[in-house]
Amino acid sequence: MLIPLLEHELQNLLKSRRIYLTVTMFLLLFATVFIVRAIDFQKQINQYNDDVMLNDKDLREATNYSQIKPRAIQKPIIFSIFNEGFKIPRVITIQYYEPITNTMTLNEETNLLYNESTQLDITFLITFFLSLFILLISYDSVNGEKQVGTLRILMTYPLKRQSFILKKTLGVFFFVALTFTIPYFLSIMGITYHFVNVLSLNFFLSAIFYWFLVMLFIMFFSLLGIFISCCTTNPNRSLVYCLLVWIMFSIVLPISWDYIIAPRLYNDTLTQLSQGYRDKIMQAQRIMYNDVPDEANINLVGHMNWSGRHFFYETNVAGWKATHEQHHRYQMYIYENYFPVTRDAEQAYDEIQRKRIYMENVRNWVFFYNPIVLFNSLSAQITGNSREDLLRFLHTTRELRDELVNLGVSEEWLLDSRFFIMYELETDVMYNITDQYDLFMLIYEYAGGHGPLEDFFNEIGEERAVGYLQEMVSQQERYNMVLPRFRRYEQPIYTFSEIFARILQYLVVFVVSILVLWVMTWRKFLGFDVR
Amino acid sequence: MLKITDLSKRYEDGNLALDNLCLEIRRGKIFTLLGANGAGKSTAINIICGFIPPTGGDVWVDEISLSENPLLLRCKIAYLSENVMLYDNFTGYQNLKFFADISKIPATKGNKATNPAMKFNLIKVLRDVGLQDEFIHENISKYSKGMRQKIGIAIALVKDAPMLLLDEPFSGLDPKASHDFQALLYKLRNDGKTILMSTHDIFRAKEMADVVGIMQGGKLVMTKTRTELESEDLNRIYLDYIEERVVMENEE
Repeated sequence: MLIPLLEHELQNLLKSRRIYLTVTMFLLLFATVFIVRAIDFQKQINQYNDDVMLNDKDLREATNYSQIKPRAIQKPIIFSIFNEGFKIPRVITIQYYEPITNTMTLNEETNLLYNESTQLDITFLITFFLSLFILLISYDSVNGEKQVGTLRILMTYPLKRQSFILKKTLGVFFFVALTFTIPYFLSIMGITYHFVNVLSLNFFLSAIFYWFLVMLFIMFFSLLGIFISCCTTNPNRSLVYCLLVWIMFSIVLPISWDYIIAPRLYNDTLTQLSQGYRDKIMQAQRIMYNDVPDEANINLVGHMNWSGRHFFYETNVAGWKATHEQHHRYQMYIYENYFPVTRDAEQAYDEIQRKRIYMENVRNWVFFYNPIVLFNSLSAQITGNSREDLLRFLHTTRELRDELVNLGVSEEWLLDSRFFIMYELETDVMYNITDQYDLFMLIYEYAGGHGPLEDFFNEIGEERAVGYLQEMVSQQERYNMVLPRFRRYEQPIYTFSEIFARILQYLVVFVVSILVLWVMTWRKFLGFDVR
Repeated sequence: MLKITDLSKRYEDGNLALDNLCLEIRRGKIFTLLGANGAGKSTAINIICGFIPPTGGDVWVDEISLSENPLLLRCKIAYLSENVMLYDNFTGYQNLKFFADISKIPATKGNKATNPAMKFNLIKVLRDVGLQDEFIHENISKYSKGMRQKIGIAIALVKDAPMLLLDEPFSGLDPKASHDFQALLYKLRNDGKTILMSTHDIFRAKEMADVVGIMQGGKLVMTKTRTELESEDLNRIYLDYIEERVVMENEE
């Protein structure tokens, strides 16, 4: 019984001119947004390749640890074509003496939560335009039929009222689902063809989940349009109601939450957390540059400089040993005071992010009936560019850093004297000491091409000086070891069950809200005056 | 065939549209309901069709009760409204095909679901009701009112319901179309269909009806058969009832 009804409904829709206009508009929008996003993704890929090449070049050319600057490079998420999601920083430099945090500034961070809705991607297209289109197709599906008069005849047939509602819903649903599915799978095919070397199974899993979610979204809005259509007998009025509901769902409710309710609820906490983070960073900077006690203050015997690649201390050879010891004290001080605070700063940053995730969850539970909000966050979860993924990225980066630490790189390195660099090594002095030419060449290279050795020799005597030099050479050998192979950070690949687990709770809410809406529509139509 | 007992309907606004209406129509008869606007003719038809629920009483068609088995009762009736409105985007044939497809009688205890419309040749039915061949595959939007009525009758025919409910079918038809339609209804009656028709057209009512009923204030105040009416002036009687002269006399 349902099949002829459905067939008829689809034919009826296909013969309506309004539908063609709507579909054409949607297809145009889809194509435009897709092409823009695909071009953007190609740019991201190019940038990523450049970054990787730069990083590899650094690693290849480095002769010691001070010359490398390992980076965690985020591989662009191909699904960002469909869902831009949360903006994750592209490159994070793994520094041993500074906290690994988001590279965005604090000002941007505090406003980020409220700026997310401006992203133009397929998800925006679906939540903003497709919802409107569905309502524009379905607003008069019941009362329009009553107005034409066919509903009276239909109701003298042995049809249950549920079947009629089901026919209407499925008609709109199939139509819109087809309108979305065809360009969607075409675009997936286009991506498969064009970006074949960056594809993974994850992409196709996400694509299927995403499609499924869109189907639920379409189902909800088809039902909503039909529910509104049952609420009044005048199609003009139901059109106005539909527009009102759409404005409420897509604009008024989410924005009033973001700009009015959420700030009232969370601004204090967020400000407090941000302030805590800022304080930790300030404290770390103070420890690093200002609060150094005299016995550890390297500036008392030399000057700390920034070479563009790393810090070094300018000193003259006369104070070489004293400076060396001073430097060691300074590094011990950093190790004991600065490092714990930077770890605290990282923790504080994570707290902010966790609070934001909590806020998003609360938002989702508050708007459990609003598929626009749910779809936005669920699609970000599926495509792997949610705020959780940012945290995951940061944590993986820290793991990478700890891996380096375990290799004996960072803290130990910091305690060593490689930052201790002599200046103004004059080439003629070096050439005069011919018998130790090779040794001096090594020292010269090791010291980065600085330092008057002559004064040094004069002051402490040749024997002791040679002893120092040999010690330095042994250290140099120590650092000229083969560099560890840094693993390249990549977006973690989610399994089917992992993605499913991430979205399960809201998926259940989604499905339940559809069922509730179905029952409401059905009850409403039972009381609908078909005369 | 059709039996209405103590049917009453009070709307939410307190208006009593039907006041214990009792009515019986035997098989193969044309029953015409006359009455002023608001007398309850349309309400009665709406209740029989299941558009609105009654507040009291019951309706039986072929021993099937409206209150007990509303879905099955719908298989027994075919309804033709004042303006037969169909799906404008479809041709006459496609409309008929659709309604034929959905006129399946649902399965009951011991009976499988059947579709009585399957035994009809739809094109032939359309020709039988007098639709010109060139219009069969033409969009409904190009049809005249008379042609729509013909499609409506065709739809009622393929539903194969023994009972036809017509709500002011003659209003707005030109004389030729009215004549054709009347001939069509006679033919249906001769085929054994029972017809309940509400109308304002007293002369056509007298001409066509086997039984005429006059409704006033939600009640059936008079029923007279064709033979009883032959010598009387129906117009006179109708006006008497409408202006409540008879009722007053009775009360006195």
